[in-house]
Amino acid sequence: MKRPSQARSGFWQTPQKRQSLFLFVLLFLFGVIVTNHVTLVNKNREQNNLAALYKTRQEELDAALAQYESLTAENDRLLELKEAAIAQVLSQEGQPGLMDELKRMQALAGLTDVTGPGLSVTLNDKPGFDVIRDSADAIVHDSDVRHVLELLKSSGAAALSVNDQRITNASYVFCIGPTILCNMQRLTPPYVIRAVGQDPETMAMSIQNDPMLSLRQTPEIGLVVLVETSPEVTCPAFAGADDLSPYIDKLEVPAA
Amino acid sequence: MKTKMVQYTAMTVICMVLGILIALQMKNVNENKVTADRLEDLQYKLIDTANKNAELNTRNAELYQYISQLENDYAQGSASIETIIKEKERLAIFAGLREVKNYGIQIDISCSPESLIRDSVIRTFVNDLRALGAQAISVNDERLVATSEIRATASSIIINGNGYNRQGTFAIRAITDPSKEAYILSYLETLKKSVLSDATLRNDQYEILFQPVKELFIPALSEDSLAFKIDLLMPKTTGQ
Repeated sequence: MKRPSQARSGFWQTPQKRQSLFLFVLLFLFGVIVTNHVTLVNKNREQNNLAALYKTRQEELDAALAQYESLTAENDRLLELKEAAIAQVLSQEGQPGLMDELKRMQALAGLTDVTGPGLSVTLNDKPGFDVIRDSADAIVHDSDVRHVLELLKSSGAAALSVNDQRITNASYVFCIGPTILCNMQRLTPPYVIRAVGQDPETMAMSIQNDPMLSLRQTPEIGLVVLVETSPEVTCPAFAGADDLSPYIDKLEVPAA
Repeated sequence: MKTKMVQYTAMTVICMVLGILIALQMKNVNENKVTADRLEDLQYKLIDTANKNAELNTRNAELYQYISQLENDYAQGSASIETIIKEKERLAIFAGLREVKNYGIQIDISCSPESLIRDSVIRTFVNDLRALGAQAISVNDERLVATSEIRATASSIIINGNGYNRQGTFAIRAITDPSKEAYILSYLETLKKSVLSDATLRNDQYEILFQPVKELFIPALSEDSLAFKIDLLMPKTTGQ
């Protein structure tokens, strides 16, 4: 007499029974996937529209970026031509010294690239930031970027930039939703702040020893702050260098 | 025998259909990654780039016109050096090297004898005034430039290397667009409330007053100021 367990294992021992079971599992899976697929079809119609729109916008963005590259190259060329034309005029007028003064003013105004010893500070949100689980201090705010800029100014920075936007007299750092506005450009993390200064180590210490930034870097909060000194750092020229009118049209110089 | 063939064929067909369905499902999952948020981000980038292109187009056209004028003057032997001197002056104004005047806003910040003015309060007003379009700003007659520090020590606030008593009044002056007066004053009122509310939490007592001024003067900053580090700003000459 067979025991019940033996009877159960014996049930699958014939090839026909095993085939039936396999067929059953296969058809069950088939049924589940078909049902799921049919349910998704409606949802996907909407999703497909989104995907198509995304693709179109991506193509438009690629074209706009290519145009930007070409316009920037044209702008560089025109700036070189302008400088050459000015030099020509000054030489004709017998005032070549004025060119040096012009260059000096451009440098003081932040309209030239500045390369020298310095550092870069990278601020980034906590990796894998979770809006529910993580503290709001784990993401980079405009005030953090301003704080780092201020620390660098106080420790001897001669030129500063944020994500290659040169900080000038007209610059501000302002939060717009999840991005930061600087020089009318929308910047996204990571924020790379570069500073040229005589003493990169002092500038680095001012960041590394700052109590607020130290607290924010603790594992509980997790803000990313990376400091890297370098013998050669470049802060690019202010992008609006060739048209200053929007920044000075309200300024009158009093008569001497 | 025939029954077995039918069974195997049916199984093969079912397996193939199942495979196709799984592949379709996987494709759908990938497509689902395109979310409305990602599309919105892309649209922001597109608008930004289009704006930048429009601005660059205008700037290039203006540059082209300026170069043409210089070249024509040169060709005719009537080089207008005044154009270049004017440009140098514009650069000096932008750099903060000239005293300037015009309509503007004055903000006076003072505190009770038990409190001290915080550097962050002054920096907040300065940053927001810049965002509001201020073209020249001074704090206690110190012209602010890109590298001006506003840093507190125990008893002073250091601006351009000069110290000012933290219990004194700090006068922020800014030349702004008079056509935006209503908006700027309303914005400053909101900012003032927020600053005062933060100060109360820290047991600080501030008084913040602001008013438009028909004509205010903002002094120049000397090239010798600590805020300028000309030796680092000028490109290094090579081969010397």
